[in-house]
Amino acid sequence: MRLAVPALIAALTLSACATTETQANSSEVYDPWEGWNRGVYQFNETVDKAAIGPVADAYRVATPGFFREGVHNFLTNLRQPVVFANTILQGNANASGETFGRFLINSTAGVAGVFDVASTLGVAEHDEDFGQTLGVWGVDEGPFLILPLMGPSNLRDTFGLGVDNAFDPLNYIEYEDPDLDDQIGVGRAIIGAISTRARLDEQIETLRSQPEPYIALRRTYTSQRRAAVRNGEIEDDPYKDLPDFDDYEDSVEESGPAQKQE
Amino acid sequence: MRLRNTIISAAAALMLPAAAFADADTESFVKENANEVLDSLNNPDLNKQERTELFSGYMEEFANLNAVSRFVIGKYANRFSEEELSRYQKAFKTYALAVYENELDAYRGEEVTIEGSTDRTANDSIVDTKIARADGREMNVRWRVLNRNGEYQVVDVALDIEGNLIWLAIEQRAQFLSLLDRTNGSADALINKIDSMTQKLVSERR
Repeated sequence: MRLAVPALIAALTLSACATTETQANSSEVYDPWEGWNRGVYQFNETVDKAAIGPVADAYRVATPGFFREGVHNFLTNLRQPVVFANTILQGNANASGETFGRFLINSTAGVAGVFDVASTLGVAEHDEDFGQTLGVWGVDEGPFLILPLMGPSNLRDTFGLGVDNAFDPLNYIEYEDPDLDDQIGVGRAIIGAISTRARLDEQIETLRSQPEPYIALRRTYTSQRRAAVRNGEIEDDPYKDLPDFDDYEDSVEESGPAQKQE
Repeated sequence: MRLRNTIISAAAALMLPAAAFADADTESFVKENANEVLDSLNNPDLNKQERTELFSGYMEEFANLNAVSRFVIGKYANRFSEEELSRYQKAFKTYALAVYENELDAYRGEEVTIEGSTDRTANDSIVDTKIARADGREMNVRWRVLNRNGEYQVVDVALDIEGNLIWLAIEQRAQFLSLLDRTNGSADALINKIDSMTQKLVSERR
């Protein structure tokens, strides 16, 4: 385990160097493991259609909207210490203050996070993780990666998941009954998965209706993460990589054949 | 040296108004046409078919669907036979118009506001707009407009989703090329996929 972390950092650094050239065009995604990724994507789709999707549907049907919102708020509030740690690491004092404030308000006035009182009071919500922190520090995203059951990621964000787990204070709480530790951890993961899946239902259906869902997922995930690293700001000079249309314009009649390009 | 600087300054002074005019013209082209398109979706006197026909007529003038249809298949535009390309372009146009009609329907009757524009070149501009929705949400939409022989036409549209600019034609191109690569460039595979997506869109229409 001790060797695994430096090895992963080394792999991340190497892939960062390797991807500099391949990502010359900002809309391209470096995906050297496409064969493996497509296999995992199919596996995830099968599991989702057979189990996770139907369970999420049942959850949506069986519970009222305010209950699901409460569960989502509760889980989001539990994550705030991790968000806070990452805002500190990113040197974003405003976001740190707001995240700290949200956690205090929602944990008390919001009854352990069930009600999002902070948003009502106008305190902005932030969603930061260690993958984004590495991005802010200039670490490249590395190869695209689809994780079994967890979905799209990349080498940098996968490493970030492990670090975020280490930041999470809930993982260090020990109960007298050691089994209770595991039960709380597993329960939180399962409820979190169902709640997230239920909220993503529309997006997943849209993705499945695309001509090439895998490509759509790869591009959407990557561009969303890049935007998240920029904290939702549009990149500088967003039009620099736009492709030329000149080769595709013609002077023939509509629906006529294209002129051969040299 | 002084003469050179004078020439450069004069050239710059001449170019500046040209760029400003290009912006203003492109902006008014987008504003007028986008509003006309959104109005066409909001006419209560039209039935479903008449609405689609009116909308499609405006869109075909507003956007260069011929260029877009070839752009999204890249190198395959030259590899398809004439008959395949013709069938594909027909299918693509029907599909693109259905996508736009379904997507823009959420903004019917709303006003397009111009936020500004950027000239990439004298004949290639991006116009930044905001469209309010009936549900109170506001969408940032960017239109890429090419000027060819004094005629403007839209070739791509971007949606700003939390700082992530999604260009519809570029996204379509990535997926269409992947599908064609995986099917040995089969025009039929692509046309069948497009037709099935069109059917789904039409069935979802109000």
